[in-house]
Amino acid sequence: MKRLFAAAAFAALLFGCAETPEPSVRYVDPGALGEVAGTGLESQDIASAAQKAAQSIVNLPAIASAAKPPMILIAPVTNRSASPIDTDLYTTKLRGTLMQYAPGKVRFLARDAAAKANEREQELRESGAVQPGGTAATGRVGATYDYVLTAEVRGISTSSKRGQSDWFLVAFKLVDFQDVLLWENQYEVKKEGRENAIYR
Amino acid sequence: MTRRQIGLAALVAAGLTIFSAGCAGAKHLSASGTEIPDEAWAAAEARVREEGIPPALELEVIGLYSEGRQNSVLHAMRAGLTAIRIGRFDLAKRFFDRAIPEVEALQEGAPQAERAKSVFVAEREKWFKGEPYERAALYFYRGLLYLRDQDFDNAAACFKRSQLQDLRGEDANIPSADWGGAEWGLALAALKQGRPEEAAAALARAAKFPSRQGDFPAPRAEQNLLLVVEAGQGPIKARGGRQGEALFYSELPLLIPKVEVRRSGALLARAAAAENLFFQASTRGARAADRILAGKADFTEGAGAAATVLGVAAVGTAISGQSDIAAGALGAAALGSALASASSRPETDVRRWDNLPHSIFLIGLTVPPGRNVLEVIGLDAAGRPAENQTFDFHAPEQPHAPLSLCFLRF
Repeated sequence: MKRLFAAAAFAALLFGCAETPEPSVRYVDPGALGEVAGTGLESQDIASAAQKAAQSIVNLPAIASAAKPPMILIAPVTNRSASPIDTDLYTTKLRGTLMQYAPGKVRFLARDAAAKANEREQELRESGAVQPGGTAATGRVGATYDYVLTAEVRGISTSSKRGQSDWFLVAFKLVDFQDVLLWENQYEVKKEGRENAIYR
Repeated sequence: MTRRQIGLAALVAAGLTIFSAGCAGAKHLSASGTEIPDEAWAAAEARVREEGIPPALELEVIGLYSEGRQNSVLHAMRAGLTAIRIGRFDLAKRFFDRAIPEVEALQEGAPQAERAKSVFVAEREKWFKGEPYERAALYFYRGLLYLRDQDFDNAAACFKRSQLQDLRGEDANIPSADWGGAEWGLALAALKQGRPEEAAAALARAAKFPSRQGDFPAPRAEQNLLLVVEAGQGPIKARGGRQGEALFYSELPLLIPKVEVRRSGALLARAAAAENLFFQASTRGARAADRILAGKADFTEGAGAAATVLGVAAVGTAISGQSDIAAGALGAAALGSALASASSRPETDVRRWDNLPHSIFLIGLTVPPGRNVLEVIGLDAAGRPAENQTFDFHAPEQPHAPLSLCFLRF
């Protein structure tokens, strides 16, 4: 009888164990940089390409031997890859990197950043509401550029059951006001990654 | 046991049941079924209030803020789509952009993913990234939002990415990357950028897809309104197999396979669905995860069977009085097997992007400047009007009018 009781208790224990407690969950910021990443283009890739481009641009004879630093308009980065990117952010990053690596050799036109504010200021000056340095306004003439720097991202992306691969080509072009291509350079980034089987 | 004792025991049991039910109701559970600590829930609630999140999104966003990476993509997907439907495109972009890097993050070797492979850990504890149709839908909707912002570069990128996410198993007799809606969106983005060849190539690919639900008019460069009509309920994930290890999809049939648009009674367009999400989900084919879960199910059954055999042997030995030590050893072995069986978690993950539609219709229109009263009619299989909605669209006067998007749901 004692043994039967023990067997019954053992059976009850088994049933009790059928519902195991859920494992604890670790709470982390979903926006934090994880241990693994994707194969898409990131801002540091653009910065790295921009750094190389800046070094190349300042060594161009037309730039290096110019009597005064030429004015460059940086056109918004265009994206023809299969990876959505924040083109505004990348344009800003590109300009910032070029400013850092080509100081004094070139000047950059920031029409996207200040044109509207300058136009509004001009209206105020013309109306007499504000006066630069206490003198009457004589009209605003915005600067123009000598060259346009374009940056285009293209890419080939593939995915398979095992993972993903992204190859990006960041192509820079420096074009003068007569549409003459002065300089072109390309930078490649290739990333590959494997996906865990539990996601495949 | 006396009748009084039985009555007392029943009363205690009922009281305990009510008590435990009351306790269970007060707890907040994550989409993975785990308990959310009260402080995490309260902090998320406060953040939602602080950010002025609309009531329709509150629950999902609380989930997003309180459940960590395990369910952040799931809640971001759901919240993003609801945000589109209530016209909060700013929030939709924010939530989708939060989900995309998590979906893109490859998890080979990641501890959380390796853990989910364990026999003793349920698949639903992995960080949710969705099945391929859900990942493709994420990029598809994000692409639509880029179209709305006239950012045709990134719209095209998203539609391409949608196709990259649409992967099928080797056993599937339908090729991967067959989202007709994504090719249609890519074609429209290419046309808006003056690249008709790219648009033609996308539409030519879409014309060959086995997923094609019927005819839908091609986009044109001059179109100034894109109607996105969602209809029906999205794929429902269900467990099957011996231990719930197999993933199945069920469908609530679509009642309106075609949609037409009229203005003042005049037919402007008639289209079949550009995308059928149930088709995309249910033609996925075998997953590598299926093999892992099948292994877990085998283990569960093996351990359970061993526990039964050992348990019976232990009881038999105990009754026969042969050996107390042998009975104890058999009992201990049975207990170990039973524990292993009971602790194993072979069931498949059925968390799903549950507010996806069954099908999506894409209808590009060129409407004159000013007020347009448009009637959108859902047609049944016999071509009879089944449902309809009327809405006002004010087309801008400017010569190069931007592309407007209008989202409707049947």
